[in-house]
Amino acid sequence: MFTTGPTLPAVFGADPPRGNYADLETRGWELVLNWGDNFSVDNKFLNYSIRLNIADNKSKILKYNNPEYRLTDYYEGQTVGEMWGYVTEGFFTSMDDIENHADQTFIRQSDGRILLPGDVKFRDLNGDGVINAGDNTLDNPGDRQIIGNSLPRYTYGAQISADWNNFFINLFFQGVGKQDWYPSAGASIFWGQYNRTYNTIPSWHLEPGIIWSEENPDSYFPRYRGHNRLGSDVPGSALAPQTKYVQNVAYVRLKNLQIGYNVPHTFANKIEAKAARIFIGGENLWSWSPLYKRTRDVDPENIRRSDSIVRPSATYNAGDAYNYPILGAVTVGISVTF
Amino acid sequence: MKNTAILGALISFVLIGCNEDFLEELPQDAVGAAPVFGSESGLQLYSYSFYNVLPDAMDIFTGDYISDYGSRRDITLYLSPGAFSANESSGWSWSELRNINHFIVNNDDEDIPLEVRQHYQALARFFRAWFYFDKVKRFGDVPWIGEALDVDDPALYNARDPRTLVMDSVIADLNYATTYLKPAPDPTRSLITRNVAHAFLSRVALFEGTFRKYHTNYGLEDTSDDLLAIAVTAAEAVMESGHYQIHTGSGPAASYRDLFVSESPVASEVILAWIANESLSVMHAANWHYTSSTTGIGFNLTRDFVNTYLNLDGTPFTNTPGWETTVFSEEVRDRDRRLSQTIRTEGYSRISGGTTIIMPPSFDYTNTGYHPIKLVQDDMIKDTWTLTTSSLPIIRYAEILLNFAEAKAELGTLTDADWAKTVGTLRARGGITGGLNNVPIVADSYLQEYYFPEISDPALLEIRRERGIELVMEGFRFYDLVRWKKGELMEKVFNGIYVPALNLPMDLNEDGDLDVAFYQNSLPNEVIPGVEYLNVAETTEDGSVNPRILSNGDHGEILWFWNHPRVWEEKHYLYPIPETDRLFNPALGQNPGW
Repeated sequence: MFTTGPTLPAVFGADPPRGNYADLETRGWELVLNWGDNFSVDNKFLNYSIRLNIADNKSKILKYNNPEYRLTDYYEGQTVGEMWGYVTEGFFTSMDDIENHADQTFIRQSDGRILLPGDVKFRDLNGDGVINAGDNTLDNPGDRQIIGNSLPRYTYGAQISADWNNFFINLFFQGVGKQDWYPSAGASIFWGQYNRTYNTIPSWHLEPGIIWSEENPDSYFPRYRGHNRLGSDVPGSALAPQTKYVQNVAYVRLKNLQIGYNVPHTFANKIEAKAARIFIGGENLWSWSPLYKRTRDVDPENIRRSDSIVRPSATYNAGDAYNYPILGAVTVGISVTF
Repeated sequence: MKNTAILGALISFVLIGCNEDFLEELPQDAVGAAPVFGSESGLQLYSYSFYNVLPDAMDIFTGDYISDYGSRRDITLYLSPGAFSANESSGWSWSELRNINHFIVNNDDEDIPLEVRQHYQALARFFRAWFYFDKVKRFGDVPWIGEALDVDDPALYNARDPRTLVMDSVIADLNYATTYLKPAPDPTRSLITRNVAHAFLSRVALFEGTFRKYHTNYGLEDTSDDLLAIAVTAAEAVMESGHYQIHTGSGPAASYRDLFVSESPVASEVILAWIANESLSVMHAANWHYTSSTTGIGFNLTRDFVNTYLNLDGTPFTNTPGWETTVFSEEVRDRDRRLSQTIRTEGYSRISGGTTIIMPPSFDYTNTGYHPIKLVQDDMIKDTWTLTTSSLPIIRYAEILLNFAEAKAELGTLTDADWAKTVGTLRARGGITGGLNNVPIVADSYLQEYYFPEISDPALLEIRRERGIELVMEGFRFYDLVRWKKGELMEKVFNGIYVPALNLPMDLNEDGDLDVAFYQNSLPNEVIPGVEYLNVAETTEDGSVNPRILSNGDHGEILWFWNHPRVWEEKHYLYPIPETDRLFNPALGQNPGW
C-alpha cells in the first residue's frame, strides 16, 4: 500500500516520505438480490422490481515497519480505522469522588489541573491508579482501548421501482449499517462552547439534560470549563476520544425518488408528439440516523474529509461536517418527444 | 533493398545521436541540486531560507512575557504550581536544521570560486549556531546533528550530547562565520555579515560563560573565563569595526524610542533587524498587544523594576528619602529619560485621526500603572489587528556594549575607559549627567536588597541594572535570569504604583485631568466624571477573589495577581523534553525534575 512512512523522531527534521510501506489485506463480501414480477390490478399489469445490495469489508495491516507497535502509526495486525480512547465512567459527583478515584491530573481540565465535580471520569483500565495514555503503544496504551471504528461497514442500497397504468415510481435508498465518528478538535458544529468558550451554542445544547449543572448531574456533556476543553485528539485533553462521545453515524437516506406519468399515445398524438411524460423527482429528500437523536446539524454522510487523497494535509479540509453540504433537490418536469 | 539501406542508416544515426545528456531532463516544477549548488545565485537563493531561524516580530515583542519585571493578566503556565509538565512542553522542532545541514553537506561544487562557497558555508554555519543556541538555552543537552540524516540512519535515535560539546560546536560554527563571511556591512540591516556574527558570538559566549559560572552544580566554572574572554573579543570586534554607534540624533527624550518605532531600522545602531514593510503587508501586532485589554497578556512593568531607573543626576532614585511612598506623577519626574520612552508618563501623547491627544496610563489596559509604550507606535489606528509598521531590532549595538561591559566585569578587568564607552554612553543617551566616566565603587543597596544580594561588585550590579533598563521588553530577560541563576525573581508579586489613600483621585500625567481612584467595596458618594474607579477590596462584589489589592489594605502599592503564586524551582532552568518525543526515543532521557 502506498502510504506515509513510519513516523520518525523529530530530529529527522522533515515529514517521513511516502512509499510502498504497508501490506494491506481487505476481506469482504457482496450480496445482490433482484426480484421482479407483475400482477394485475384493475385489469392492468402492475410491474415491480426490487434490487437490494449490501457489501462489507474489513482491512487489516499485514506488514508495516513499526516494531514498537506505536498507535500513532499503522501496526501489524491493526484493523484499519480503529479508534482508541478512554472509557468514560460518568462525571465526578463530589470532591470525595475525585480523591477516591485514580489520579486523573494527566487529563487537563484547567491550567492548574484542578478537577471539579462534573468533570469527566475515566476508568482506570490498567489498574495502576493513574489515568494516562501510557507509552502510546499497543503494549502500553495507558487507560485506553479500542472504542470504535471510523470506516463504514455494511454499506447498502435498495432500488425499488414499479409502474402501473402509465404511472411509475422509482425509489433509491442508500446507507451505512455501522460506522463510528469521534468529533475532532475543531468540530465546533458538534462541541459548541465545549470547544471554544466564544463559539456559538448549538441549539440542541440548550435542551434539558445536555449541559451539566449541580441540578442536572446526569447530563450528556460535562461541566462547562475554560479554554482548555478543546475536544482535542490529544490524549491529555478533557474531551479526548472516549466512549461516551463516540457517535453512531449509521444512516439510511432516500437518495433519489421519481414519480411520473407517461402520457398515453392517443393523447400524445393529438399534439403531434411521439411520446410525452410528466414527472416529479427529488434527491436527498429524507434520511435517518441514530446521530439525529443528538443533532441534525451534522450530516452523517458528510463527516469525512472530502478530498483526502488529493490533499493529504488536514489543513485543507478537516472533515467534521465542514465540507460543502449535501444538497436536497426537487425537480418537476414535462418531457415531450416530437 | 535501397529502402532498407536508408532505414538502416537512419536507425544508426538515431542511435549515435543518443547520449545520456540528451536523456537527462531536469524537473520543470521543482529545483534540483545542480542549479542550486552550481551557481552563486543558487546559493544565495537557498540561503534566504535560513532566515526563518531568526525570531520574527511576534517572537521579539512577546519575548519578555515570562519575566520578573512584567506583570500579566493571565496565568504563567510555566510557573504555576502543577500546571506545566513534559506534556505541555514544546520547541523540539528540527526542520530548520535539516535545511541548513543539507546545504552545508552539498555546498561543494568546485565550479564556484572557493571564497564564494566559503561565504555561503559561513552563512549556513551562522544559522546552525543560532539554531543550536536556541536549543541549548531551552533544553540544555541536545543531540548534535551535522548532516541531513536518512530515514534509516540509527543516529535518529541517538541520546543527547552534553551541552559542552554542543556549545563548542556552536562556537566553532561562529568562529568559521566570523572568518569567512564577507566583511562589507549591509545597509538594510537585514542580512548576516561578519559583524553580525561577531555580535551574536558575544551574546552566545556571555550567556554560556555566565551560565557556567553561576550554575555551579554543573562543575564547569573553570571553563567560564575562556568563554567570557571570547565574549569580550567578539564585542570588541564589533566596537572596533566603526560601523555602529549609539543613536542620539533625536536628543535624550526621543532617541531611545526611535529604535523601536521607526519604520526602517535606525542603521547607525541596529546591527540586525526584523524589517517591516507596509506596502508588502509585512507588519506586526505590538500596538495591539500593548494596548488591548483582551488581546495578548497585558504586559506592564512592576514598581520594583521602575525603581531601578536612576535620577537624571546619576544617583539612584531609591536613595531619595521617602521614595517608597512617592506617587506616580512625582516619581517619574527627573528620571533617566529612557523611562518616559518606555512607559506612559507626563507629556506622552498619541495620534488619533490626525489629532494629537495626551494619554495618561490607562487602567483599561494596565494592571500596575506602568503602561508600556516602548514598542507602540503613536498612531492609534494601528492598535487593532496586525498594523504596526515598526522594524524591530534583533541585535543592536547597545547590547554589544552591555555584553562587553558585563563580560569584562565578570572577568574583573573593567576599566574606567570601558565604563565610559559602554554604560556611560548608554546613560548619557538617556540624559543622565553623573557617574558616566568612572567605574562605580559603591554597591547599590536597593539592587542588593531587591534583586542580587549575592553580588557585591558595584560595577556588576550597575551593569545588570543597565541591561534590564536598556533592553527591557526586547526578549532578553528570561534567559538573563536563567544564566544569572536568578529564576526565583520570577516568583515576586507584581507590584504597581503607590496609592496614598482610598477614594483619592489622582492625576497621573499632570495634565490637569484626574485619572484614577481606588476604592473598597462600594464607590464613593461623589464620583468624578472621567475618573476610573477601581476596587481594591480582597473580594469583589460577586464574592470572588480580587486580583488587585493595596499592599497595606487602604494604602500602599498596588499588588496585582497576588492570589496566584508563581513558583520557580531548580528544574525550571531547563524546559522538559516534550513527552511525545521522549517516548519516541527514550534515549533522549528527561531533564532533571520533570
